[in-house]
Amino acid sequence: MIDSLFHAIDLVFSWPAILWLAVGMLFGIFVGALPGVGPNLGMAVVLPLTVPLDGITAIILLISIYSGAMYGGSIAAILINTPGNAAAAATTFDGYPMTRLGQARKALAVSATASALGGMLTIVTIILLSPLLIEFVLMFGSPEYFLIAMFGLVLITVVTRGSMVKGITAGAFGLLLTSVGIPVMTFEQRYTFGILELQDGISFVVALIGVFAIGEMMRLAAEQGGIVKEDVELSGSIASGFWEVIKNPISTIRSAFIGLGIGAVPGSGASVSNFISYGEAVRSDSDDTYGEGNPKGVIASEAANNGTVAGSLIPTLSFGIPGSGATAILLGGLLMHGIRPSPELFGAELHITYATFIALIVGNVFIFLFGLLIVTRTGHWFTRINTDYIIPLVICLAVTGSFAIRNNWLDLAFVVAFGVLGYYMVKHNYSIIAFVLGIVLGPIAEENLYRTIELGGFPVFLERPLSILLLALTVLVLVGPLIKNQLEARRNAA
Amino acid sequence: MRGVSNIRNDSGAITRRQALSIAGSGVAVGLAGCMGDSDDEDEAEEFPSDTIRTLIAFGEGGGTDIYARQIWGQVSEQRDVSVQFDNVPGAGGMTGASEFAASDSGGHTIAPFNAPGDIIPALIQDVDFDFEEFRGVAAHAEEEFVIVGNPDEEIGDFDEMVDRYADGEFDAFGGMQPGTQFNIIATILRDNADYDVQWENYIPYDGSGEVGQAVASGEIPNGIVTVSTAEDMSEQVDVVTGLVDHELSAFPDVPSLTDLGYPDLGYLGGMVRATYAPPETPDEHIEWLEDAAEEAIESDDLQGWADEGGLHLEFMGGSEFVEDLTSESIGNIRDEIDLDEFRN
Repeated sequence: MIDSLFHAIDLVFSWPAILWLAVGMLFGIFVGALPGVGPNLGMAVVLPLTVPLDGITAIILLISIYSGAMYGGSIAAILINTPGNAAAAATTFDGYPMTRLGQARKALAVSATASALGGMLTIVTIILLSPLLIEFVLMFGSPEYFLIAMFGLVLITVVTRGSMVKGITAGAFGLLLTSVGIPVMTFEQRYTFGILELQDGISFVVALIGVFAIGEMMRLAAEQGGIVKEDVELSGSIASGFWEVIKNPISTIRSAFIGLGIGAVPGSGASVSNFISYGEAVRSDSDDTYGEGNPKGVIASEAANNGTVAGSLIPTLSFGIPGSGATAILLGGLLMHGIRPSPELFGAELHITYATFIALIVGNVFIFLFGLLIVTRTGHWFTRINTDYIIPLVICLAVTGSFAIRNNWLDLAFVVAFGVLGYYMVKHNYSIIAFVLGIVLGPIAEENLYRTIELGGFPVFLERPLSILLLALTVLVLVGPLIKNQLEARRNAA
Repeated sequence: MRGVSNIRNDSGAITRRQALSIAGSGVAVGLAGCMGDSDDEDEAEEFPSDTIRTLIAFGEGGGTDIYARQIWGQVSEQRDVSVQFDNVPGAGGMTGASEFAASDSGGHTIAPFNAPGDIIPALIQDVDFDFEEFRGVAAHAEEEFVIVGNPDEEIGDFDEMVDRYADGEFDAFGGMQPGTQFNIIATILRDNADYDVQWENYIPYDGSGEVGQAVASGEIPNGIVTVSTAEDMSEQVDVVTGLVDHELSAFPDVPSLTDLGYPDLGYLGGMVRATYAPPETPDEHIEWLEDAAEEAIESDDLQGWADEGGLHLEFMGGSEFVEDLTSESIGNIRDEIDLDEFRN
């Protein structure tokens, strides 16, 4: 193990691997920050260009793009309320209000620090636990995946502000939309109306781009000047952002590990983990300023999405099961370079796996330095640019990116429709986060519930310790506040 | 007119006779082209006259995508031709297949598909093209399918597995989504009395790796996976039987269904990766593509790549082989399976 580790360090720091790592990080941050582009498209574009590189260097390049994009997504989320990718969608909830209050610099510093720490912490953890990772993957099955999705859906009750009826309606509407297309469980066409382009359902990434990017641009169109409110002074220092993360170690660690765990669940990835982590932060904190510019909201989302990178590598490298679109492309990169994902990557070929992990650690240091030294010093300028210039640029990127995800012409219509929907949802106080949780978690919940029922129904949830734990947590989140209210009412009455 | 005006006599001016002669020869060439005259040979020699577009009906990074990029990337290098790769994913490959069927049949568009896996959805759905009309180019790899079991269950062989389903000890059986090749095999194993695998619940997963993981974790006792998955997870699952009619390349000691005296599943027991051209692509262009693919597949570069990654890559056959395979697969599926069962 130690030999493999040193061998890996040698590989990562050799020339030109270290150069490609830096190139990958920069490119990843760039594509991650562009609304609608994100890691999948960035990696897909680069994949065929890696042919002349040796296998390990190619993987270092691809993984660096993936990791860089996870962080890059937060830049646009914070500055213009438009997440560069789905993994940073929850960053908008507090990151953007911070920008509106003139604290963009601080928010960007929080994001860079939390991303880097979350990423490094989870990578170090999986290096230490590498002999046990195969067993870790095998602990998860359909009942556990369903319960994780249910936990996320139950969080709708926690994150909804204002009318609970509106929150549940938004969540249910998101769930309802996931019923379009051919489900994994049957060959039944649901609401496809004979249109081939609807068979794969409505892309939640397109929905996210619509409600966040297009919806926000519609809202900004009604305002004059830049994104920052006219009467607000730019404040918030880089140092205060850094210390905000250091002062909240529990938030960072908890979020990073939520990301790690969810990343290991196939089919979910960072687009789920950032929401669940954010929801959990809101649930477990008595601070009720979430959604109004609370830095802990940014920590929750950003530490989780970079933590997800490490988690998603576990099933990808061990069994060739991609946890997300980005890891599917990474898997292709491995095969293209003659590296076959298997448990051998945690055995005889451990140096390849470690090289990937070491590259991520170095990459997170890069994110930290680049984020604090470059992005925080330049990014806030963006918030002073007149929105007349920003709006057409973002709309072009969002629409082009939506189409490029699956080359599906219907997505052009969907991104606009979701933009209008998002605009009116915000205007009438329907929870966007509840809607997003519904549309992202719906398919995971549905297909795993189906399998669990086929495997024996409810008793299956009680067969394994992990599923019992997840069930208990879900019930606790659902009924906990009710019990707490009852107890407080009795105490007050007494 | 521009072409004519550029041609001048020694003095720099064009005569009326020369202009008429050039125009006349242009008309003659044009007519000959319309009549499909003997200039086809020249055309064949010139092929490819444009970029070859490889339309991949699946996303980037999948097996189909990687093999196609390696083979046709190598063709590009060896033959010094331009090859472009376009991924058109969606609807289980049907969106890309539909676009491919309607694309230019001049030989400049090709597409990789897996037979019979990718053909089945087209047979189940009401699509506006017919895989049987596609021209074959070359087949480059076979992916064998196997049944794997959870090691804790200590399933000796396929016969014992059948008995344990019959006894009610096992009821769940895993594979990929309904309407896929895995699901159809599972249905045949249950409904055909010769096999009589009496599973009660078919548990569908997103991919072969997920099925393997479910078997390894004990969520299901058995399932169908690709031999690559079984190789990758050889420490976590037991291979019960091979579903092809020949010895498994990776597990030579594991008896196949036919070794045990069961009927052959034919092409359904595995999947052949092949390249196709649109209907009516001319024979001489198919020949060029076939030769180029064979040369690339057998090149040291690609064989080295396949060896390094433990992948199977060989030139299994050209156009005729692929077209026969496609027709036979479609015939087998139509004969053996009630496709209405999978339709709405």
